[in-house]
Amino acid sequence: MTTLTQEERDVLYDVADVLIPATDTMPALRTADADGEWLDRAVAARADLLPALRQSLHTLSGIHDLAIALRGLHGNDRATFNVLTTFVAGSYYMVPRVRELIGYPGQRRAPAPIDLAANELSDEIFEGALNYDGGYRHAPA
Amino acid sequence: MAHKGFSVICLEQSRWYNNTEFPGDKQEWELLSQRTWSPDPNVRQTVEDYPLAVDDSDLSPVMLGGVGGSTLIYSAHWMRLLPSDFRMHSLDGVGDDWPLSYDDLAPYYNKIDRAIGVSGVEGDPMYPAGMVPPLPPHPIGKIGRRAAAGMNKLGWHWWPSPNAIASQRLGELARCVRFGTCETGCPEGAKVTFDITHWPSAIKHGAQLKTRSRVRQITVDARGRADGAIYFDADGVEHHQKARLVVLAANGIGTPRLLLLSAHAGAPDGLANSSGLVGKRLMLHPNGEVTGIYDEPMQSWLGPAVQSIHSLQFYETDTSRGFAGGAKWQVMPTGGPLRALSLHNRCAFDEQWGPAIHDRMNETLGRSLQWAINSQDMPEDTNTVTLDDTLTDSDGIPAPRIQYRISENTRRLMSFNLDRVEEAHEAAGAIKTVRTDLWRDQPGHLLGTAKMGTNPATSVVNEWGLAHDVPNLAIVDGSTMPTSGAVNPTATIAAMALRTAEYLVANARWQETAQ
Repeated sequence: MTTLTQEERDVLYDVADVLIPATDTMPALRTADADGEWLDRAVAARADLLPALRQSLHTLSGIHDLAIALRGLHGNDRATFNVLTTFVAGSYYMVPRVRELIGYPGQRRAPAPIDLAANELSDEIFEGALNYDGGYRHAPA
Repeated sequence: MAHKGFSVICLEQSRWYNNTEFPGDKQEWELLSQRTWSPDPNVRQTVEDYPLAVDDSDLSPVMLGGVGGSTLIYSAHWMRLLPSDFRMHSLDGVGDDWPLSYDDLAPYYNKIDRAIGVSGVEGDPMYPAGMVPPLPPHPIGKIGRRAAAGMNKLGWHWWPSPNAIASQRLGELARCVRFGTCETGCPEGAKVTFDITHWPSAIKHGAQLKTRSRVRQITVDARGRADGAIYFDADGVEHHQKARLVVLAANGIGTPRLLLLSAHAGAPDGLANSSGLVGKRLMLHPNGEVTGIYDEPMQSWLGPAVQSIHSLQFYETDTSRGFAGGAKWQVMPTGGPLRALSLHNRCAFDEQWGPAIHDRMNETLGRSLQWAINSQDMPEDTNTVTLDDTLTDSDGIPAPRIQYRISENTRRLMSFNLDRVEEAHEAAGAIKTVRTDLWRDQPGHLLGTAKMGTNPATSVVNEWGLAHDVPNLAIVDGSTMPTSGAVNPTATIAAMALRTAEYLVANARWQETAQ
């Protein structure tokens, strides 16, 4: 199976509530990605880690205080912790609404205005480079 | 050479890549770059790549099999060696002199610059006059201007960088649209990769390109001249391609691997290896970096993700620093939110996760810039490429074993330069810096394992790239570099390859060939 079961998703959302909690301005993963589209895309992108993710979610299932458990993994089993954060942060920061809130447009086409490069080199900053008084070492032929 | 009427057949172990395959324009880019598009073949684990045995190595060399080779994933920093790089032994008493000089290679640098369309600004004071990028520069961006302001305070060298990314449409190259994902392949087709800049023309002029054709041995005739290659096709069927002259371009790991695989009765230690230097003197340019976090939004995800500005302030040897050689520095953008979050990986749980994560993201995303250093590596016989006893590629061919240790000289060099980089960030007003002393999976500069020189006893190829032992075997990749310099080597490799090709064309009448 290449997707998570509902039970596994529920555990992952509980983990996400600890790692990236909702605030007045930022949503939780479970609400930002209500239909699970971005979590599914994260799983597809790192399908190689799916068995390890499943194993860690199974281990965390039923644990009453996830915050303590996650702190423990952070301190003692960073590899497992990193698997969890790969999917939690990986899916959360793909959600378009989240990207909008953090001001990240994504990697997209943004051709430079034609005169931007020249304008950037038209003030005192580039004069510093032009006035550099060092140089290369001359070498014998 | 096809353009000049030669019959050319190229055996390529991998396949064509299409721009639409590259992940840079996909939401999953950061996740896909961790595995599917990792630069490390041991992470990607595809059948088209070969694995590397690296348990005896301080670095995991990176590369990509494909038409266009590792240029598909390189960062396109198009730097020339400096004049002193060709005369290191004469000037500094270490390493070796090259059998050619900067002035000898400059015309070929100029030709290849024009052929591919380098973007940049003329007049870098750290180079001799005459280096004229044919395309205008890319914007250095807010990250470049912030870093440059710091360098100005210190009075240190910087210059808008030359990059092999098209700032304007040129031939088969599209104009850069600043995805900022250059090192995972350019979705737009704006990065100079040789599948775009050279193969269409070569094929038009009659060159044949056989993909999924993995060479396991270069064969020789009764006189020991190279007369072809045995290769596996995609179905694992073995073929023998005959040739009168063989050109090898598998770079500093693939080339010695193939020469060692091609040992025969007359060359039991490997083809072209009477000097014993095939596979020795591996140089990898260890990289380190310091990312600075600043107090202003700089859109530091914006491409091109090449070098915005570079510095050669600490490039030339100054023995008072306690080491030989130097480093080239470059400013690069820092990508998306996962990269921003990773800058806090060394923090305590409550400083990175939980309610703090939103503050960290606000403070970091788009507000950081990276000063990275590319370190000169000295040639040492103990850093080697050999054949592994057990690890093989998907065709059962022995994989290369890398034995590579960073020397004390290089460690001092890196430490000195990273300390200066921290000062550069401080001068630019960074509010926090995050330092990586060694980037284990960077860069893909694979150099030195088939040394060029005039003496057959102390080198593998002559000054034209032809093997001393096998005069109709040319090597045109980073393996022939006698010393590494500290700049990104692709411009030099391309210029040297062009020089060899022109030599072969001009001297074809006298060139010894297989029967």
